[in-house]
Amino acid sequence: MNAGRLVLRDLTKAYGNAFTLGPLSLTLTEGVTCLVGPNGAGKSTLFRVAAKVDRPTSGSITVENGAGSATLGYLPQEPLLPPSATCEDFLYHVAWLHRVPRRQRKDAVSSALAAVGLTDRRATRIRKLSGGMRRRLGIAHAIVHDPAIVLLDEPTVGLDPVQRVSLRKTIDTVSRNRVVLVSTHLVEDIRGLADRVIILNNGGVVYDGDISTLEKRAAPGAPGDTDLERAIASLMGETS
Amino acid sequence: MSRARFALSTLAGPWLLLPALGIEIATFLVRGMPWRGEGMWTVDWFAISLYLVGPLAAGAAAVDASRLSRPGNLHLVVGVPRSWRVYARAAAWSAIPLMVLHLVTIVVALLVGDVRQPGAGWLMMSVAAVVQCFAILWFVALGSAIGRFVNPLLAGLAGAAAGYVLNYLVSDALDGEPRFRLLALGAATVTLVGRGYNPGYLVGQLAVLGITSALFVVVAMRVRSGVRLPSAAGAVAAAISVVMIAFAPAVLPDDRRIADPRPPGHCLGEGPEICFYYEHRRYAELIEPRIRTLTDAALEKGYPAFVPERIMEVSHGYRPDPAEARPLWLPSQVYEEGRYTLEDAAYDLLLPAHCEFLNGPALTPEGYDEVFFSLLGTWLEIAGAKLVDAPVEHRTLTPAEVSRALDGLAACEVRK
Repeated sequence: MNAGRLVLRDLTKAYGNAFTLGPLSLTLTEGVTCLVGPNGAGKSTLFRVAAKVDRPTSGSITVENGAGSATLGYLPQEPLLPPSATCEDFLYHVAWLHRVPRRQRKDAVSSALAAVGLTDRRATRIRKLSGGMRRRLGIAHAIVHDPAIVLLDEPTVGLDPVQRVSLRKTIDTVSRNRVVLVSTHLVEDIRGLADRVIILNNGGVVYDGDISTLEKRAAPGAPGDTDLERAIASLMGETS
Repeated sequence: MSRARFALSTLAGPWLLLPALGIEIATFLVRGMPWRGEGMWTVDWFAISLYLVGPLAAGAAAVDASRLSRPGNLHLVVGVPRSWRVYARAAAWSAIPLMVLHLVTIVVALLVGDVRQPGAGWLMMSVAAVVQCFAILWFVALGSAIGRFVNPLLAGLAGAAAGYVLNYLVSDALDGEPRFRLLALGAATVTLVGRGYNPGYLVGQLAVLGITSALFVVVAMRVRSGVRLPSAAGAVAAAISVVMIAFAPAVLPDDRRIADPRPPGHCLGEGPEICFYYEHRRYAELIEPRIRTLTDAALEKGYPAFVPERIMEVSHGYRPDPAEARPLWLPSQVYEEGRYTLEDAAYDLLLPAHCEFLNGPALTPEGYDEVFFSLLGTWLEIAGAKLVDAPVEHRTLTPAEVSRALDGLAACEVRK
């Protein structure tokens, strides 16, 4: 499968007078892009609009692709995974929703479970999964239809360090030949995952580039233990 | 299997089958199963259960639709192709088990009642049963449409309340005037012999229920700043549904049932010959001996005027000419309790039900009660029974007086 592109053109989303995202113009390509920003910066709003859960106020967001699937997979910040269902049954349902042909559904579910390392849990009820496993199942549900674009909204929140490392490996696996946009608060996620970093603040992009360039933006007096932390803090306007 | 397992573990609708089974069984057993033997009454009787099953189905479907539309799940509704499919699937898991249960209940009731030659015809009975199933589908679709826009608790309450209210507003439960009503499904509590279904009415119900159900299910949603609203197309679909339901009475037939003038064909004995409707043949064993006791005693004691040549069961569509046969109307306790006394038989055979004064606002002629109860008391007395609790003084009549009084009642006059 060829990776697609997620193209945002002059995208805005307003919530009355309280908050406005954008205007944003971005093109996301193959690999992992980390979206960083303080609470209320507009990360989840951008994800919801990109996933067609909410409509933009203006501008457009399109999935472009050279060949193969141009669909989109989305893991919301707090997905409602049905606790009484088994992992396998849930993924079958999601595959059906995404119109995966009946004959391909079994393979699609198996592939998604394998990609997130839950093959041996296929018949386990979701309520019996650990927090990390649920996150991985959430990713599986976002990729079961083999989308070109995958949006993961704060997938590592609430996980312990071991689970976060495991999940980053999963995301790395998933990102092969795909556009993956991950929102996160955690610097370690950025360092462990990102091919590209976008920093949002007050609804606008304040940085768009790679990690090494970002690190050079660290202000000397900014809070943080590393250049990356100081750079992010600087760009968020949190200089001490 | 995976689909069924997933539905059972994530939806409330399929679990409604359990209370619905209880409701269907209760409907089956109450009041002594009076519908047994009558095809049309059997089908219409079981519409009674829909007064409870319908609102419950609407409530459960609303809860399921609401849970599908919650924020953490919304992306699997509005972010997928043909998003109505997820609601349709949930609605199907509510509706189909209930529809199958309802149909099975009706089929079992027809078998238990040994229905063989229904006057309404198998085809129209089948259509009427399918209309009831479409009504279940309609309740579910209505609940689904409501539920997708509110939280689960409110959805359940609103769905059930809407189903309950519409059950009365769009049916004939509160208003008996002949008019097309979408949810007039029968719910008959009295015999329907002598009536048939109006095909145009049933087809109209099928069409309106089917189309509006489909429109309810496809009501699309959009999210505006976190608030779930119907899309423009969804709002139009809902509006079309309301208009169709409101204006259907203007173009569709008024009467769900039509008169069937067919006379009874299951005739027994002679002197008198007693004819029942085939659907009521099982009551012959109860009723014929009582009538024979009365007629045999009348002949033996010299009161031949009491004995007609023929007794014909009457129906909603047939009443014999009084000059040719004495009418027999089976009272409700026959169906419900299997009870029929000599007094019941004599009363039914003597009552001049064809007379205007017993069917309209006019008062009975002077002396009517005295004559009627004297006839009744006389007949019971010669048959070895006694009239109790007569509302007026009465006396034993001579054969000549009986003959004169009966001739008078046949002409709707009082002749002492």
